[in-house]
Amino acid sequence: MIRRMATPRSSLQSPEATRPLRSIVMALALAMVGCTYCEQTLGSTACPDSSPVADCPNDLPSSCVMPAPSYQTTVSPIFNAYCLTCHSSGGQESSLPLGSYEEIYSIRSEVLDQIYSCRMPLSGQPTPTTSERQLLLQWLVCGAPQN
Amino acid sequence: MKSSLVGVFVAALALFACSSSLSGPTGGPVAGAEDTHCSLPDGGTRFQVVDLSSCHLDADAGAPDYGPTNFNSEADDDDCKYHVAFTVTPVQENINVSFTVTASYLSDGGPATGASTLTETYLNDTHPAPNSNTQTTEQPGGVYQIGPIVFDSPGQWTVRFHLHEECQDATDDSPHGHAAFFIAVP
Repeated sequence: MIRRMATPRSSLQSPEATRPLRSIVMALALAMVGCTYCEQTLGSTACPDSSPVADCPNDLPSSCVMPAPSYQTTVSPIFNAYCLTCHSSGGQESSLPLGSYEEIYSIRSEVLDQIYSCRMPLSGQPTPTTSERQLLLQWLVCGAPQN
Repeated sequence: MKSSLVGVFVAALALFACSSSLSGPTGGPVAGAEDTHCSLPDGGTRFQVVDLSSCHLDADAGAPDYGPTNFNSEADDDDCKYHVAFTVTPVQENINVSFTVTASYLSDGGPATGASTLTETYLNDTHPAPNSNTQTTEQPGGVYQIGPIVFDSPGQWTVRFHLHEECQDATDDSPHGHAAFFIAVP
């Protein structure tokens, strides 16, 4: 059995009085559905919240600061420590060796993309420290010089 | 009658507020010459059959052999394994952008499902797109929703779609494929 709650008299309004309010509420509801729809179909580009989510740090240097980190003394040891287990002869990624300057330079764009986006090193593998990561990114943003 | 007009007016205002965050020009794929690198003079198509069992062969692939970046919103992948077409949400600087990529085998036109499609996005060799926790969601029919991607500077960007990125590109029939497109960011 459905019971109807008694409505306080003070909140009672005539149908004529509630019609504009209902129209406005309905219109706002429709507009909100529209917002949700555009978010679902267009990503969030057409709706207010477009801030990116980031698990991997957005720490790419905005420009090259000279002098760039030295490949010989700074960068090469980091590659040796974190990359060569897989990216060298006999390793899982031996087809993409990173043991020499020439090998790194030939794919420097991909190396930057993979390191910066935290795709490499793979999760579960030792990863460069924050300062080592910064040195690698700085060197790559400077164009990977042979210094 | 008056109340209905009020409702329409409020709805219009609310919709304007909803969409007003996207003002100004939007970019997207750069129009240009159609990709024909897998086309044959007789009108046929040159294609490379893919063998999924060639994914993890331990062979020397060398550096990635990328083809030229494509104009428009569809092209064949660099090694003529797949046809890649995409749509993209309106592109502006520093907003979330989402790509919907449809990949099919060039050999038979069938949908390229389970292809673990990823993007590599960059303005130039030293300027990749900022990290934005990009996710790929596969839908039926070889369709992949990829986003969000953020272009943090105006210019002509390159978005390279990688299919079967988990596979080594070591043999000709490796499922690993890639196709790059120019995206204009105003």
